[in-house]
Amino acid sequence: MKTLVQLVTFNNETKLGFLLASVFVVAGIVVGLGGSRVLPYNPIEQNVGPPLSAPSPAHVFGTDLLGRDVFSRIASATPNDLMVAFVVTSFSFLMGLILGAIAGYSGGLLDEMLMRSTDVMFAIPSLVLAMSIAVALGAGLVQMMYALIVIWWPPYARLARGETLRVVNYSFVEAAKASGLGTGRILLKHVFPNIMTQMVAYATIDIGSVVIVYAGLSYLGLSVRPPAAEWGAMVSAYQDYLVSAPWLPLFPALFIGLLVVAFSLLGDGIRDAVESASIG
Amino acid sequence: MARATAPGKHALVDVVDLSIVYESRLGNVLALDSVSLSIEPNKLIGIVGESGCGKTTLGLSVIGLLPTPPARHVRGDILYKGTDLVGLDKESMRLYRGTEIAMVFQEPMTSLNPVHKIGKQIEEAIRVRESRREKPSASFQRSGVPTRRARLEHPRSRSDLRKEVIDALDRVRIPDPGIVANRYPFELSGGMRQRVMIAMALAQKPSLLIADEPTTAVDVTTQAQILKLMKNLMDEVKTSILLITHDLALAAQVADRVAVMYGGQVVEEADVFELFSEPLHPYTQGLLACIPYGSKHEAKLKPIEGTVLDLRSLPPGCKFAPRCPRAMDKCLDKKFPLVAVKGSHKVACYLDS
Repeated sequence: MKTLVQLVTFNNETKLGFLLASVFVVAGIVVGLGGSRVLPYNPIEQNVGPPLSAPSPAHVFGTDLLGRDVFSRIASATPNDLMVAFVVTSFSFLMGLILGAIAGYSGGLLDEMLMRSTDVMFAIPSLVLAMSIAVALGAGLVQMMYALIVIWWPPYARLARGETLRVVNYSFVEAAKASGLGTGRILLKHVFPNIMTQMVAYATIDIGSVVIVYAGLSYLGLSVRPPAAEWGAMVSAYQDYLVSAPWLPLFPALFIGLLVVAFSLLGDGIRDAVESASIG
Repeated sequence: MARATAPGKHALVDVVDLSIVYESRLGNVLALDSVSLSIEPNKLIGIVGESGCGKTTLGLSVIGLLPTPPARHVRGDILYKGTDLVGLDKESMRLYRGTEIAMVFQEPMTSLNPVHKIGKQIEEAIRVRESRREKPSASFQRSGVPTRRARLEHPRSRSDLRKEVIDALDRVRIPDPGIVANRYPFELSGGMRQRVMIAMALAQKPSLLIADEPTTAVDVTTQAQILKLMKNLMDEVKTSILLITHDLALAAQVADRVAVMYGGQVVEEADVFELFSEPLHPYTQGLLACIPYGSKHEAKLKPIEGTVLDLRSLPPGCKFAPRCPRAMDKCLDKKFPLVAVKGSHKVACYLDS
């Protein structure tokens, strides 16, 4: 527990990132559990204020053309954005960890096959691929997550493989073999714990990237259906008011940016902390 | 079960005519050339030789950890308690590792997993041993180990396991074993770690412990302690030790029997006293001549002339002939096989035939 605290307070950037990320996560959980009851207004209810009103004490981020409260809409999208980011990252993490470690540990034909298939994934522009998958599956949150996971795991597999190759060179792996441990236990007990830190650091930074791509896809209209709110979709819908009511596209875009910065700072700090304390 | 012969008449391990080749793009390297060696129960046998003479290859092939490829088995057998280990598939071989044949490696600094506590790692070794009693393979069933039922009648509690971990550490003379068990490897010195490695290996109660240069990475004082410890433990836990070293003096201190290797071959094998008092092979004599004694009469050491062999282009006859001060013409043509000349003293040289 002590080391965890050391990790998130490694330097000032990390602290800031941790603070921001915590605010997002707490807000996401509160809104996710409480729904519109914890928000100042119902996010999909129209005419809660005068249409296209500028930010004011009553509507801190203003209102849109239909008179919906922008702050409530942004806040109501937080759980979705975080959920997509966490689900996509964790599934990619797991898939990458298992496939990459197996590839790196076993080597040979299996390694070739797994790594060449990641090459195939890398060769196709990921956003285009995700779009095609999302279009094929139809718009929707779950479909979007499927699409993202499909394109998201290869870098994790690559990282896990590389780290595994580093770890198997240590003689404790050889010693584990000599004491008669099977491949499964060696991976579980000796390889995974030693590649986990690097993987976690990468995943933390990566959460921000998922948010960007998710926002991009929903900007293109591939995530939640209207009238439900989503940051990318809001930017898309409000961009026509860039001149007449600039706060409309500005605030959702700002929140996308903040979320990305939060996890990037946190992940960066974790990586630095991990590297300064890693073995070998 | 391949080539099982009558048990009882056997040494613990009989390496018979074993040849291993490393295949590479630059050419094939004959790492082991018709090596035959017996390891008697409860004996410490030292394998001595210079870098690249095949001593580590021999150790790794006995425990079945040679990377294949590049290594390839050419011919010969490794009989362990009468079972030929060479023909075994990976899974059956794995069941021999640890509980039957264990190994301690050269680098104590990286031989322990940095993320687990010492106690946990020893526990794991004990668990491997216990799990084999639970699910005995065909060959282990015969040896009469307790069955699952017997195990269930005497279940092991956590404190029982913990006690065994502490006992294991205590056995290798680690002070405050209870505290050390809760430490991480980085908190221990090199000598301590090597002791922990030995404790881990012995916790599995193997019949053979292969120690590959176990004291190369630790200082001389610690080296002496560890070797003495290994020697004592050998009798305590009834195991044989195959000590691989480049240090002749070290082998002289602890080994019961010594095999000298050169260019992938055993050139001389004898009981330790015999070998050092009456070395027969010119290579062994050369090795002994370059140990400094510190006497005034021999101010200068006598090095063995020439360089270490390039194993890719071996001479057809005796491997040592090009460097041998007493080489004859026939040495260059055909190698003399390893034969017993005096009791159990074996040597591969024309001079002593």
